[in-house]
Amino acid sequence: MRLEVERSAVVAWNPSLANAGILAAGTVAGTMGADFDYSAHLELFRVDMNPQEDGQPKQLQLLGATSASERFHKLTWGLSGAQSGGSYSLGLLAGGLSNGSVSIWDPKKIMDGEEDSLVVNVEHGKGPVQGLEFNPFQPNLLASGGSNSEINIWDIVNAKAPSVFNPSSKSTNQDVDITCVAWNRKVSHILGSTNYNGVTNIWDLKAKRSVLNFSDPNKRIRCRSMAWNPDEATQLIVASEDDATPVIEIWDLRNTVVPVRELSGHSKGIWAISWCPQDADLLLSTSKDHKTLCWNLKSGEVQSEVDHGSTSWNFDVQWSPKIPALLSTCSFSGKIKVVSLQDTRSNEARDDTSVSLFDRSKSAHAPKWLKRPAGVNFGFGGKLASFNRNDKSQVKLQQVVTDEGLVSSAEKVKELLSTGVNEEVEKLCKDKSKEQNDSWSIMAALFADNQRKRILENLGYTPKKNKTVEEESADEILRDKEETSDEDSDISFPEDEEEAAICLAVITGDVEEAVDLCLSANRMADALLIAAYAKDQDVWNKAQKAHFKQQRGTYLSLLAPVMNKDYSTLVDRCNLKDWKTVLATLCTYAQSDEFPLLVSKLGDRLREEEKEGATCCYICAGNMDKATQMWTLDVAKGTELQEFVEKVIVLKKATNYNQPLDQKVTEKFSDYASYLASQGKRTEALQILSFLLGSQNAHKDETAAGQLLERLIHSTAAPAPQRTITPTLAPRVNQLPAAQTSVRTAPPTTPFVPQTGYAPAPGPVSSGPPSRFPTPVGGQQQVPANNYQQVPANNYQQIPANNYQQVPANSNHSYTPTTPLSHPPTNHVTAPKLPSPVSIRQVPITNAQHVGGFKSGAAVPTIAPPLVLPTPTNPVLPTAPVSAGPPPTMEGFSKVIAQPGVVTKHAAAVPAVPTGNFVPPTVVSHTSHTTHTASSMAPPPTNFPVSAPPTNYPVAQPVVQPPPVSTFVPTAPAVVSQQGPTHTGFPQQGPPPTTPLAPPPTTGGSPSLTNNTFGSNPPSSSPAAPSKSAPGPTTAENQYTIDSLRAIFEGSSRSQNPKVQKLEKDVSKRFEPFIEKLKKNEVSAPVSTQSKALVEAILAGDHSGSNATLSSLTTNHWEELGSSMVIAFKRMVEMTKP
Amino acid sequence: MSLLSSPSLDFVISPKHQPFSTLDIVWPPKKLKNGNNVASTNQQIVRTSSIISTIDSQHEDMIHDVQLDYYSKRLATCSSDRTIKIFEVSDGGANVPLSEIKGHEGPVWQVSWAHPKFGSIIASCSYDRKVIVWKENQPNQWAKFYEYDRHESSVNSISWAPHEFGLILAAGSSDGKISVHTWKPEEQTWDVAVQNAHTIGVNAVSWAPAVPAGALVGSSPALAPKRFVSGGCDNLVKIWKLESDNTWRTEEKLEHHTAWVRDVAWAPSIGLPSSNIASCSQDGTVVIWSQSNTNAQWTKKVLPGASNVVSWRVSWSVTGNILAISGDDNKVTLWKEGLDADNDWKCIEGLDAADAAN
Repeated sequence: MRLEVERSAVVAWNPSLANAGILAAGTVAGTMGADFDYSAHLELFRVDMNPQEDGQPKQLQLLGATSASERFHKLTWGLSGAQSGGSYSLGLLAGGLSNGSVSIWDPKKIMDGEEDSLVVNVEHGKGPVQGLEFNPFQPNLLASGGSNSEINIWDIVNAKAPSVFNPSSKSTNQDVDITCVAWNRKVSHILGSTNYNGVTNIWDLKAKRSVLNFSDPNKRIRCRSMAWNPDEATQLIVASEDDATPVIEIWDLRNTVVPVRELSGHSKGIWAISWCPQDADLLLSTSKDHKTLCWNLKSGEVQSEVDHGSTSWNFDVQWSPKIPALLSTCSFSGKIKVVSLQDTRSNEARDDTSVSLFDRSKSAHAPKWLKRPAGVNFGFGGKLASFNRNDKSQVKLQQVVTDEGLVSSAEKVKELLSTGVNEEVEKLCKDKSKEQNDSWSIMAALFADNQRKRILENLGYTPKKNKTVEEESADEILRDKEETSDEDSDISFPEDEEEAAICLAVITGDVEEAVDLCLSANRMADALLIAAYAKDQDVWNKAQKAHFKQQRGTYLSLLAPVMNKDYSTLVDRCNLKDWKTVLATLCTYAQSDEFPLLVSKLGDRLREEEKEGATCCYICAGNMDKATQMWTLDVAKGTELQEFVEKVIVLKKATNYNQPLDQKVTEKFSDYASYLASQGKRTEALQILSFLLGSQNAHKDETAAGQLLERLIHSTAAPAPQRTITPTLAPRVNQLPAAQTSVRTAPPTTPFVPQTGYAPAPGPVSSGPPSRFPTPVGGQQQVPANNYQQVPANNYQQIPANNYQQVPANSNHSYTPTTPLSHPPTNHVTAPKLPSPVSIRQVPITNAQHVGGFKSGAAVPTIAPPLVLPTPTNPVLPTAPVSAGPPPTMEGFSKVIAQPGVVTKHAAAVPAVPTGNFVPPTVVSHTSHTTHTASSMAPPPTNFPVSAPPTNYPVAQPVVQPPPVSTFVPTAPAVVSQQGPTHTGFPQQGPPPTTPLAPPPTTGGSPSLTNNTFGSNPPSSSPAAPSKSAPGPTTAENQYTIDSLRAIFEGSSRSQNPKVQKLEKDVSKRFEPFIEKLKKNEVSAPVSTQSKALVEAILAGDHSGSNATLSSLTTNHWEELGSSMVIAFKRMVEMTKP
Repeated sequence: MSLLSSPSLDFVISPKHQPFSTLDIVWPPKKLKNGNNVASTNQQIVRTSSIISTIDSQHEDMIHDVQLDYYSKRLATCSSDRTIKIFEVSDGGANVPLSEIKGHEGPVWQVSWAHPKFGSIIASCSYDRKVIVWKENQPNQWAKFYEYDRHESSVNSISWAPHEFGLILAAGSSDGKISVHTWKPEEQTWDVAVQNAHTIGVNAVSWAPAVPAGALVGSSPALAPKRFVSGGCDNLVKIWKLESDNTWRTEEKLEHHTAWVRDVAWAPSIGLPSSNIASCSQDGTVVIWSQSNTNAQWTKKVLPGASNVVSWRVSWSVTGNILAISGDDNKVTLWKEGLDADNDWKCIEGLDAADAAN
């Protein structure tokens, strides 16, 4: 790049960075233009660095010009006022004029073309000012040097009126021209000057004088120019103009004796030098030998040549102060050139006026301006590497972090990654969630053990709380699950607060709470729904209760108790006029055990107002007492009485009421009876009355009714009292003294159903039913009639009850032919009394018993061991079926039967019986008997050896039940009656007559009793005249049988099987009477033989044999044995079945 | 200038207050130093950089360039003593000199690491007019892989093109030319294209990123066209583009500087459509040239407070959002684009040698 302009001028570079490319040129003095133009101009040029493609030099661009009064010897540019805010934005140009004055221009104005660019013109001295320079540090100082060794320091702070200081005034120098002044580049107050005498003066402005001067010791050279080292404050170069000694001397002020170095290369005097401001190793010098050289001061060699081959010599050369490698030359050929030493065009293309600084032949001295003194570079990962000249060879490595927050949290992330412990992570989540409650809290939940719950909590759905903290997020969550149902309705979280709370509760699983909320919010249906969903009974109840409560007064109040099974409440609080409804409700829902109570209660309530209702209730409840009370209230004589009586009777039958009735009722009855009796219907009257009274000894009562009864009894008693009551039957018989006998008379033929069957515990079934059934009378005398006959005979006498019993037994038999048959019937009687389940099994037993008192200890064949069958004396057994009476008596019996408790164990005849299951003939039965017998009905055989109020009673119980009264009617009331005492429900046994039947351990019986265990039975019972075999000591045969039976029983009783035990008990009970009979030898011979045989077979385990024997026993001796026995035997056989 | 006015800069040689004999301040080499460097002159203190370590390069002359390699594991320095030194650097501060590369005959001005996918390659340029590419064939054994000496003057700057373009090196020389050397793997030769760039010298070259501007934002061609920026002694910043006819043409001439452009640096792409170029100049200014998207006008922003100090080097952080400037005053300043409306660049940190030395 070459720039030039045709001027003969001295130049001055703008020293600033910003305007480094401006060159000022002032017409040089001492020359004359071609046209003898003596004008002086001051011009500004711009140095344009852009290349010119064609390689031709480019013209300097003229920026501005002004004229000067004189020509210039020196031009210098200072930045005084160029600071921001200064008035001279481009600084000031000072020119040393040939007339000895110094003019200062404002280059800005020159550039702007203004007229008054001349700032000031000061007079320096006489001669031309050859030295002029602005102080680089304090640009307001201008040093000028002229002739007479005068040096002036101008202070142009006030440019218009600069002040001057003349440090040289004190010097005694001769008049010599100052050729050059130069300020030190490092120290602001040092000035150097050279003069033609070769003396270099160093001036110290602070000292205000020359502090040093020196000159070349060897030669007195004319120094034309000097320059300070830009880097070293103490170094300077002086160049000589002398052609003889064209030396460039490098001096160091520390040693002013000898120069540091001398540079020789010029052949002629050096006119100008310029020390490169960027590179202190480079020096430009221009000489009269037409060379402009660039020196390498370090090596002392010429680095390169500028304007090589030029024919004229430059009188000025200057480095650009700021632009590296740029220099200007001014030649006497009238050209100003600006060249760059970096220009490296090829030699061919190069103008021969310039030489590259980088001539390859020269040693590679890298100009300093290329040397990067400092640098910085980023590296991966925020690393910064840097160096600078101060650190020398140190390279600094840094970590640049601009976001400390990120870094510190990065630490956390690292920890997070490295920590394997969930708790820590969880803790982190928790911490974070305190600050920012978004995903963190949810994530914390993930670490918890019960994730779901925690998540719930986080969502704000904390159970037990109704807070809806995070309802919004919950909303979102829920709304995300929008579905399009058929109705196109979205499922969304409710906005209503109430609903929201409820939803919350449900969502968190707190159903109870939800229900509570619903309830409090009066959302009954919802509450119920939720409660139902919850499957929590308590909650459900609560909801229900609340709902009911709320719905009080509506129909629900009726239903509530129903649903709550709180029937008593219903009863208590129902509106009386709705009693029917209530009753219906109770009918539908009430449990059988509470039904009567409830209905009675209802009846009680109705008593006052709704008599009909009350009555109805009482009837339903089976509460005869009260019912009859109700009736008595408005009964009068006559037909009403009849009605009344009928009603009562019916009711009694229906309910099996066995307890004494209300006084009034009794009175009414007796009235009726007496009325009847007075009409001649004594029998009927008796029946009715005895029926009513039920008590066996009622006839002994002192009451009018009692007396009437007795009277009737006596007046209707059959003439042939059969007082011989087999001991076995004694108990029962006793209980039914006259009555029984009377009863007896009737039914000798009645097939007895040896009630053995009745007694047996297991056979509750057995016992009861048989007695009931009327048909029995028809006699299926399965049981060897013998027995029956025997028994009956005895029975009649002794134990009329027997008949009863037997009848019933028969009757039983009639239905229960060794089979579960009379099951149904039995059931009626017994079943109710006894737990039905047993029934089936035991029916056979029952039957057996009936049959002949076989007490197969429960059909359980397991009973191998010989049972010791207490010989249930048939007669005894049959006591149960008291109503052995003749058919006709059956009616009575039936009535009797109506009385509860009758059924069951006829075997009660042998009450005491180990089985204790005996159901001693109930008192009722006795009464029934009595009624049957029409006459001499002893007070109701309440004396029946009720003995142990065995569990059989319950058997009787059922009888009492509402179940069709009809059932009662038929059967062996005697049985029933015998069972009477067994009712648990209503009746209580007539005081179990102290076992007239000697029920107790009579099994053993007194030998005298032989077959009749009735032994010690009171009166009639005692004889127990065995019509059978002669009473007497037990035959050996019989004894053997007895023993064997016992053995069998014992064996079975030892059995672990509860069923077996039960059966055994049953059977043994049944057998008791038989055993008694056996003891007393009341058993007919064949029977005893066969029974023995049977027992033997059983003991021998001979099942088929035993079966055969059994069947023969059954068929032949049904009557004698009675169904009970038959059953017992059968059971026993089955027990021994292998 | 605010950066200089901090009280802790006592040792900084201010151009105005140079003591008489303080030109040769020797800082004793400091031991490894880790710790926080308290920023003292920040206008906004974000955080200070912590000095990881100070490496004594043992160069006998001025260092002219330092460069961290792709992984920031190795450091290369070059010096006027004509050598290149490789060090291993680590966060722990253990800096191990690995090797010394000699071969240049003049001061080595710049070194540049190539992308590791080409191997362990480093390029250097020197006053001896040469561009040399070195390859580490064996651990810590470097050999010349390529040498170019056709420049007529000092090669002042070299720059590797983005690795997506291949192994391409641009070199700028004081002869005013830029040479682009392309490695042809199938032929195992280098292709050289030389271009006149700046009149009296090229001081710096820097490649544009290969990821096209706007890659994050919108669809763009797979790779951007090859471009680089150069700064020269003609005070210009020029953007060069490889045209389809495989010639380099000046796409843009950015004028602002009044003195030599000492360094240019093209900011790495951050996926946004804009491009940034930083240039620092002898005139004491640092300018950020921005182009909002391809083919848009380049606008400039002069960094405030940087005048009067010659900036020698500008360097963008790898993520492209922080600019480091090293100035003649031996200070390094970090600049970040502000988020305010003006998007002014703000100095976030000013490091200076004085603090480091302590």
